[in-house]
Amino acid sequence: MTQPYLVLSGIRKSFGAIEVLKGIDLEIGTGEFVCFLGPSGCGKTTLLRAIAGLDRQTSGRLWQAGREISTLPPSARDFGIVFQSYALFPNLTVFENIAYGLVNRRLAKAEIKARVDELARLVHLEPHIAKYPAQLSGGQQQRVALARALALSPGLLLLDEPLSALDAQVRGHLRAEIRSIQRRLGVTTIMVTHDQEEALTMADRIVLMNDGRIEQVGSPREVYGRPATPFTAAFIGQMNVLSGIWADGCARVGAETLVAAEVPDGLGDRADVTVCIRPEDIGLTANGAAGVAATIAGLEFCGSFLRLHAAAPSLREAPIVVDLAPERANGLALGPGMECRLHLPGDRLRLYPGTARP
Amino acid sequence: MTEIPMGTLGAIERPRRAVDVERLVHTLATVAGALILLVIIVLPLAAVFVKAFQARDGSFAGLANFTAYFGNPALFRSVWNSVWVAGLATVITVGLAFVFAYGLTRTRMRGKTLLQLVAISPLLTPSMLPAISLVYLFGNQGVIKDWLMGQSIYGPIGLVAGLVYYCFPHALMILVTALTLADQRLYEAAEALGTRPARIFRTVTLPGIRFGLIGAAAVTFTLAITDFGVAKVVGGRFNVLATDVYKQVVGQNNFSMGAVVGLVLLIPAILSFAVTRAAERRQRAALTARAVLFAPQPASFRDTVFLVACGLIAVVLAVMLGMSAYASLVKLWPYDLSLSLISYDFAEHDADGWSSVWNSLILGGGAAAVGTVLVFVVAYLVEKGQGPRGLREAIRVVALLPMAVPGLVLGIAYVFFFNQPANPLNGLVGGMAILIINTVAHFYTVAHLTAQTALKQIDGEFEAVSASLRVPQYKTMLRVTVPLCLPTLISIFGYMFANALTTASALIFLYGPDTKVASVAVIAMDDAGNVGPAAAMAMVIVYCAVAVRLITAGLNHLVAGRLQRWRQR
Ligand SMILES: Nc1ncnc2c1ncn2[C@@H]1O[C@H](COP(=O)(O)OP(=O)(O)OP(=O)(O)O)[C@@H](O)[C@H]1O
Ligand SMILES: [Mg+2]
Repeated sequence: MTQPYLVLSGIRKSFGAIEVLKGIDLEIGTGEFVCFLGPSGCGKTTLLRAIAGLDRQTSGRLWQAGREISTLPPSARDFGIVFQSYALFPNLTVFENIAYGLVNRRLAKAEIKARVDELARLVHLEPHIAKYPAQLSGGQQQRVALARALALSPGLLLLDEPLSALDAQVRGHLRAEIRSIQRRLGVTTIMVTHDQEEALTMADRIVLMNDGRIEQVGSPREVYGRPATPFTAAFIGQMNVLSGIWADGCARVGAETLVAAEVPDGLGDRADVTVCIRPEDIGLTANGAAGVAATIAGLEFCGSFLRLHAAAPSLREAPIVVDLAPERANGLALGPGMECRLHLPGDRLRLYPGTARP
Repeated sequence: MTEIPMGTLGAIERPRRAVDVERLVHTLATVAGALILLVIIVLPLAAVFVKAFQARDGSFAGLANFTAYFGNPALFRSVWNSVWVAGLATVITVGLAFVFAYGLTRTRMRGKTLLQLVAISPLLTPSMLPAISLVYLFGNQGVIKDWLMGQSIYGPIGLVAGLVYYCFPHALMILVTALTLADQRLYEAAEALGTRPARIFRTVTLPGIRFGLIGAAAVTFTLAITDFGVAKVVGGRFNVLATDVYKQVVGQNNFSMGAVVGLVLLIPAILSFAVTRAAERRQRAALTARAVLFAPQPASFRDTVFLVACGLIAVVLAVMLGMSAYASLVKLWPYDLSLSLISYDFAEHDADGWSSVWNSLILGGGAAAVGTVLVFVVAYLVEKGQGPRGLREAIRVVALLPMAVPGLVLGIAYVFFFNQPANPLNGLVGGMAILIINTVAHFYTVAHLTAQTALKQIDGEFEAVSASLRVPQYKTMLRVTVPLCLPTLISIFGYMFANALTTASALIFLYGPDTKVASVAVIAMDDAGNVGPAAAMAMVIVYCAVAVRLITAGLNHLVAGRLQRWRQR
């Protein structure tokens, strides 16, 4: 990373006796698009509001562009923000909403108009400039909020679940649009979401949060392919989570012995170990002696792939989930009750010390 | 993570602002708001408590005043008198209001709009007006005096009748709300099970509105027991608490005893306040978000029965208003019934003539202007401000207080508090300012709750957006919040204005030689035996109150048109 644009150090926040943020350290580079991802109530919004200064942190410090902002009121910081509700001023037109912050700058009328027109073009709202927010669709309102937040050319753009109120199609379209605008302007952006697909497709880096702490920071590829903790592993994408015992450099799960290519530090002999593998990483053959014996319990057609639930008594009670590409599945004549063999490649197994959730 | 992140830190760091100016301004404004409420509500009430424990000379008297009060059979009898009269008025009012509310909400009877208008008309009359009408109807020279079969209207009969008129719309509004908030699905379920109507009424309707009934009864009882106007005009020699306070404070200058009676009067008011708040909370919780609002089916027999019943009630209400209107236009009741405006020539009957009407309008306009601004700004600071949280909570609580304080008690509270020579605001006594302040305090709670509700409905992130765009919060308040709240502001203005015109209970203690208001003039002229002019003055109040309501309704209509423009697709 080059010079970090935003630095958070030891951010804690309590509401009364409840600690919602339990020490957050984070650096964000200039022009980065970062997603805060995590389950509901984990503190994403609280962290975003602390960065904005809307809910001051209980302890910890923040720097933005080399300036300490820890105690500054929001109006003295440099950010634009879009809320889930958009918070558009209903009695002002689209033009007036976008120009809201510009007017206060005592700019010349012509200058304001030029800037608003430019922003309206950016978010494709030129035809709607004279309308009131209530006369726009949800997606259009969202763009107004975005344009308003960008009007003062802030160094930092904060988005709190900006797409969650929209239907799937509009959402997909706006994802791409927000990302392209962000790239064009090069504005450092933090987006809060609890939609992992949104985070995976949009973010340069994902900050995965759980219960007031950062669980993992990394590119979408990293958090998906190399989850650092069982929580990340289970939260992002589908994951088979198996519990076993570490013995003689192997993980013993049920009656099977699994050999992983990569072994974490700190695994003692006879220690509990959690073994994770993605459904699409599991191989499946109809017969043969190698692999784990299993019976297909059910099939789901999921469009681009086929999802199987396979009972493998020697591994554990609950079915193992396996995703197969259609061309692989076609040659196998799969059906419920069919006997098969599962292959768990060692380079795809991820091991974590301790027992994951029961 | 490195402790100090960047080497360039010192170089680029801009000078940090020592204080957050906006937050400081908010804090100061919140403190100012709290101080104002302290002076106009809390301290005067505290003065009543202090006074009740003081002897006439101001020395500490312990419980002596209370023992003297409860030891005096004449005074103590008033407690019982007040309780049973108010109780009887409550039973009758709630019963009639229930029938009326049921007709309005649960039937398809015709003429609902007209009936509703007539039903709420008492809200625009001073409480002396029904009493004056009763005198014309049943008094010594009354039109239908015989209907009383020899009983006198002066006393409990007149009191109960006048109170029922005066309290009816208050009970009605609460019951209409309760009956409107019924869940249609419960009725459909009951009917699907083949339940008989009487049983549905007993098992679905009544339980559904029991909190509404409790609330209506509590409000009515408080209004009835603390009302001054009806008791003053038709109370006769039948003593009640409200007139006792007046006699002690104004008649005998016995402030301490007045304070004791005031405290006694505060008990039912505070109890009923607590009951109403609890009932409101339960009522709201009872209706889930997914409930379907009840829509009555036509049923000709039921609709006719309710039309007749509600029609009768409306006729009685209209007659009560009409009697004063008519009597005020008669030359010399009952000898010369020709029409004339002679009663409206107030200068002939009262030293202050028409000036008390102008005073009322100044008071109404002043209280409405001052009250609307104060209430809105304080409510804004509480709901959207950055002032200290504890202080904002405290203001919320204090703002609820006036609802539990009868006007009469607030009136003597002001006398006790502002009349002290040591009080720096002593100079206000006798002037218009103190009447305005008192009226604002008197009607503060409803106005505050109205403003609070409107502010809560506005997106809570506007202030955050405005800060991020570096627009000072006050500008966003003026440019966005106030326009969105305009209908609410107009309602508060109309509410304050109309109530300032009709109320007398607090003002009777506070007016000065140059500030007699119309409602006080009604009482004064009635006292002097000029019942015709008193009726005329009461009617002038009604006409003014109607005008205020029409004007504010018109304004609201204009504003609603503009709001519509923001909303239409
Ligand atoms: N003003 C507040 N007072 C008390 N508790 C709060 C307050 N704001 C948030 N919390 C609590 O802090 C925790 C984190 O809230 P936050 O809004 O940051 O969650 P989130 O990660 O944004 O969740 P979501 O995805 O549901 O928006 C929650 O348990 C919430 O109840
Ligand atoms: Mg959130």
